[in-house]
Amino acid sequence: MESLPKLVVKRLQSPIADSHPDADLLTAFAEQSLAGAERDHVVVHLARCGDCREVVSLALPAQIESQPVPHTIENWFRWPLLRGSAWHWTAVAAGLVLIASIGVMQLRRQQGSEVASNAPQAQPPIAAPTPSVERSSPDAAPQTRMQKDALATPHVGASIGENKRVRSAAAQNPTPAPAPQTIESPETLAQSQIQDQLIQNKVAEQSPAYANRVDKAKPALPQGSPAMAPAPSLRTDPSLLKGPPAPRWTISAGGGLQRSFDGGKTWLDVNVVADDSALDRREKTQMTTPEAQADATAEARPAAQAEGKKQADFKTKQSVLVVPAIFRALSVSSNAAEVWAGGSSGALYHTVDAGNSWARVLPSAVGLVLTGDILIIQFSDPRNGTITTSTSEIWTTPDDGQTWQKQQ
Amino acid sequence: MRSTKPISASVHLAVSDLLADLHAKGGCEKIGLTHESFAVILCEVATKYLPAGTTRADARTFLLTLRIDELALAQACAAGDNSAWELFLTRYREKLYQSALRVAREDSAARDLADSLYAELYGTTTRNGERISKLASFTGRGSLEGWLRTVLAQEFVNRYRRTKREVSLDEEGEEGAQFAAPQPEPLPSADSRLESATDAALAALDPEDRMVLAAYYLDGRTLAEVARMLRVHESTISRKVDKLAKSLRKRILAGMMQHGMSRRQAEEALEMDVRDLQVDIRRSLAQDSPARAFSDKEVRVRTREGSG
Repeated sequence: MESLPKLVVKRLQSPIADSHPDADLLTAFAEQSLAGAERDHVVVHLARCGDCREVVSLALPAQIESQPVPHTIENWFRWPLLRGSAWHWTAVAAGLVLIASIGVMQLRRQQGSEVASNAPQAQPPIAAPTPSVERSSPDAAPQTRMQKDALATPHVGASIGENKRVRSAAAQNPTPAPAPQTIESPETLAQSQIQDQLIQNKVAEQSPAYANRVDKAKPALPQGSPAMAPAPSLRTDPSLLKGPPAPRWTISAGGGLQRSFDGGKTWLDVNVVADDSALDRREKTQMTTPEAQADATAEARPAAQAEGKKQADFKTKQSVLVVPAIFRALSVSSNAAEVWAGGSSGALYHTVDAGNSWARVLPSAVGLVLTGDILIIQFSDPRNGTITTSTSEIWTTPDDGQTWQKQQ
Repeated sequence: MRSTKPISASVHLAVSDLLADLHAKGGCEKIGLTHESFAVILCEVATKYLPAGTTRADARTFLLTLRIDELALAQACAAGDNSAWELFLTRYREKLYQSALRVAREDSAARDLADSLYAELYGTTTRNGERISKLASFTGRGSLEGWLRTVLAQEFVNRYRRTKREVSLDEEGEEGAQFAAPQPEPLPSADSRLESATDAALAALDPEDRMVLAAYYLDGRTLAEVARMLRVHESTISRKVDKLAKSLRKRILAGMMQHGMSRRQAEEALEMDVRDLQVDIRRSLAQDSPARAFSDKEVRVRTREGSG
């Protein structure tokens, strides 16, 4: 390309005196909606205003080809050792061999488990595994079947604990149903455990429609954990792939809080306003299936054990707070299983178990109480957070919401 | 958006001609905009952009080019209608965050940018107990999605300017305190004939051509980026930039020769400039455009009732 003398480049940046065109005109220019004198006026300004050129350039719509590749893939092939083409293809070939061998092993194991499940049940059933089985009404059978469908989604995945529960359900239920196939990978264990908890929590309101929605919520690898859930992260946080999957969060048009376990393909409503009876029922269920819980927790969520004390404290806090009947979400901030959700009239809720149980938190300090709608929640780390309200109040916490300070 | 100009009779007539159709097209009924309130909005938009003495036919044509449904939605949100706000969130909330990520190119900065705009759209600023929503300034000249991207980009550029100024001041302070900054060598004064020839050549440029040159040579944009700004093919811009640079050089040389320089002298002056002219880039960038921030002072003040 022809070069320009530096003096010419310098003279090109002579400033312009008139005011910037408004955002509407710049948008219309970028979208080719301006004509005649109006367009000329904007072009004259753009010819001399670097800031507006920058704005127009930044505001251009994204192109399909410029969409970023997930970092996991990108980084993997960027390892120095894999940069050479020979190494690159060797790595691909090794990966294929590994996948094929795992597939063969899983197939063998599957065949083994099918044989075992077709044989007479050798293991004693575990008592009262899920509330749906506790029911003796005729609709228990379809519910159980739907629950199995939900559990046996693409990873064909039921955890060991779930497998036991479903087997026991089959034992108690007169309707014959094939036992689900089992593939035991850490991801499927963790996914299906959370999904199982979701089913347990929602079982009181379980209906065919709900079961269908659960059925659609096929587990998949999480694609990220944005702190403000509505911002769908275009990047993949590699740390999330190692631990339990964190659901994604968003707010529906009606102000309902929703979460997704499949990277945003399907969303389920989450009721943050805790129902005491539901809580009791959940705790009862957890107590009646200690073995299943122990299995699932030990294999899938070792990190959750470390947070045991935190969850215990959380439940205590939950029991003493009075909660309103309606919650309309306006903001949400999530970090793995810990989520803060803010709404109208100062409603602030907190969960440390990916939204299965919630506690209302009322930020207050020396006689001051948070007022207004909670519009922004930001946590720079699990302990330090900031809340901004519609009344321009800013509240901060240095200790994960235990204490709050109102900023002046 | 509120215009200070008086609303002309032709605008009034054009609005009354089209009001029923536009009200229906904008789905105003569902989002709480009455015929009267929508008529006021249309009159204000038309008055803001149409020159004095516009005919009724021109005003009608103008109104028909507006993004009516998006204008109605934005104004209903600004007026505090809950169903409009819910519709807005459904359509644009996710796009807002995606656009912020594209503008800021970094996750936390993008979240920060989107959150601050979201708060402005919702209307956190209060004046006499009334909320001011930035959506009130949307006039439907372009798409609402494009407008959201533009205001995000404006806010990003504003922040960048602030940061740059602060850093620049800090650096100056440090330099002043710690080092006895050597006096900068005086810039070789470009021949006045070169300067005047350059200015004349640039002044003769078509504004769009000047914009293309500035975007490519001054802003450092790629040919593809400049092409996307003007919605033309990259090869078109490539040819155009090359042609413009060559013709500009020719015009400058011709200008210097008209002022009595020989061709060789003129070429040497240009070459010398390319090789040796020291341009203090930092100072140049700091002065590259007026230090005004993008702002939206003409926002309509609306009360949001029953905010939820």
